[in-house]
Amino acid sequence: MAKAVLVDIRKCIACRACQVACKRWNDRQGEPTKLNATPGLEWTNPSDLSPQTYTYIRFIGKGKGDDFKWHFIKIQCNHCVEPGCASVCPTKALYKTAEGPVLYDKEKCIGCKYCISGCPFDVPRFDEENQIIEKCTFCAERLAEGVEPACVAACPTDALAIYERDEAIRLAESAASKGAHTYGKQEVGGTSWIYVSDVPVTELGLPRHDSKSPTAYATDMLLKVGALGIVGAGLLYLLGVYTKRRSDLAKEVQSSDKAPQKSTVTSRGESVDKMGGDSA
Amino acid sequence: MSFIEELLAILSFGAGWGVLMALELFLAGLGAGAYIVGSSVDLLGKKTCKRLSVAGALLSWPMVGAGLVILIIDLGRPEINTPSHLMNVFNNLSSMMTIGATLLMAFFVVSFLTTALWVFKWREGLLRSIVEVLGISLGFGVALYPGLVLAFARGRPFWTSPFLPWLFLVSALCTGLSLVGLAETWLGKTLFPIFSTDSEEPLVDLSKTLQAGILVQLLVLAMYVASVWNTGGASTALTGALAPFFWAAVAGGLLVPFAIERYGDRTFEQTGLKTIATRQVLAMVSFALVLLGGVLLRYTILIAGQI
Repeated sequence: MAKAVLVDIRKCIACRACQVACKRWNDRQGEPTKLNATPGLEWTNPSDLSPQTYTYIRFIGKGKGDDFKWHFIKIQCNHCVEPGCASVCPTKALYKTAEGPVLYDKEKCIGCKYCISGCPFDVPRFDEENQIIEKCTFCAERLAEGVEPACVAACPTDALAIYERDEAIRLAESAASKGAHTYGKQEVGGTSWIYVSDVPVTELGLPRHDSKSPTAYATDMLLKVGALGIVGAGLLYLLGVYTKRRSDLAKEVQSSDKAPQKSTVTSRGESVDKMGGDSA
Repeated sequence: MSFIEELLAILSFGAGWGVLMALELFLAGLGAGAYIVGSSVDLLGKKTCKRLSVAGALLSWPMVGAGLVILIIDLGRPEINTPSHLMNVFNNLSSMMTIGATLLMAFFVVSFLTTALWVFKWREGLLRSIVEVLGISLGFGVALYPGLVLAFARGRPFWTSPFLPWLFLVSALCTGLSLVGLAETWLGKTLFPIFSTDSEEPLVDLSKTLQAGILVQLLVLAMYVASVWNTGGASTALTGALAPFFWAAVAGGLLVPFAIERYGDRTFEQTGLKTIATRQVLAMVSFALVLLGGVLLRYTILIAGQI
């Protein structure tokens, strides 16, 4: 059965134990970092994912005065049910496993970096030194042994908890029925990391996405491109017909101007030229 | 961050696709556009303009081939990418990158074959027409695929517009026509002596077609920009650090060549052959500007989408 992590932002205290546990389990190196300069994100550190950083806690301050409140949201690969990175990858180096993780096979990768742009959450990072894609693995090797991911195991407040995906969705819906906001049940066709929050998660930096899976999205895009092509071709055809007609009319006028005027006689016996003017 | 700092950060941007990818997208469209223009002239019965058709075929496959080489150089795993490892690119038939690579290779073969048919003077007959119809069909695919590759990248809102593939297609046709026009005007009978008996001077038709193409491109560009107006990439491209590139592509690569061609047309119509040398110089300037604008447009859209 596919696993999912329920991320309850309301319980997160930003201790960043998950960041440290991830670094240790995955043998990621420390990097020089600096505080994020963006207003409202000042304490976010590190401020982005990197080949050495699979996850980080984003600090977002909202409100003013007495209403000011910090929100802490964990960022990592969301392990989509139908991953955008895998759908665009030409080599199938990225793939979804039945247990939930989206994994990377460096033996197939050619380094085109399409997965970086194809990911709806801007997660994969390219390690220039080792020439490989790096991202959260959902600790697939731990899951295979029946052990929860390192970040989940390290979380002291149960802000991170792993369930079967159906159970995680049920819990998220239960929270939603009490006024919480959720993210990941349906976005981009559903993800294996599902958020519960006291404010809309899109206000905390995750992108706004509809429920279309990558396949549905690509089909929809192709239909739109095709429809535009048909409309464009039709308009160009009509423009061509109009232009040709104008050109033909101009030629007709030109040739009739040059042709010798022929006289004819009306029923009243008056002599009138072809252009409609009275004859002399 | 100051404008200069922001611009320098963008120019040194290396996390995703950069200038080499922009060049590859440009060359693929350029080769396809040149072929479509040249072969259409042949198929539509302009037999007195064979130089254009030969130029289209002769220039198409080197452009697409150069694009393919740049694409391979730009891949991030030079130490791993042996020819057999690169065959992995055909693993996922639903990936636009796989479809694009297939189209590029098929088009390369067909456009090379078309050139061979011309050079070996199998110049008339059904065979060349069949090959040209096939090549034009593949050429449209090659010209559309760069836009589709970007439009399918859901993580980049600035690219996810159905207008983008058509913008790249129209741009490919304009740049392809400009390349063919430049070769014809600059080298003309010297480059293609076997067709030096061609009686018709195609410059006027090329110019009028380019003007129409530029107008269509401006229209499609406006619709594309309107469709992605509220994205961060639009701000970067239109008013941010990449604005000089974007507006240079619009003004220098579209508006100025259009004005030059209009001026050239009028002068030519009024004074006829006396000004043909000047007319040719004007045409070469506008063709070169359209080519430069094509590169700038792709670079701007590619980078702005990733910032």
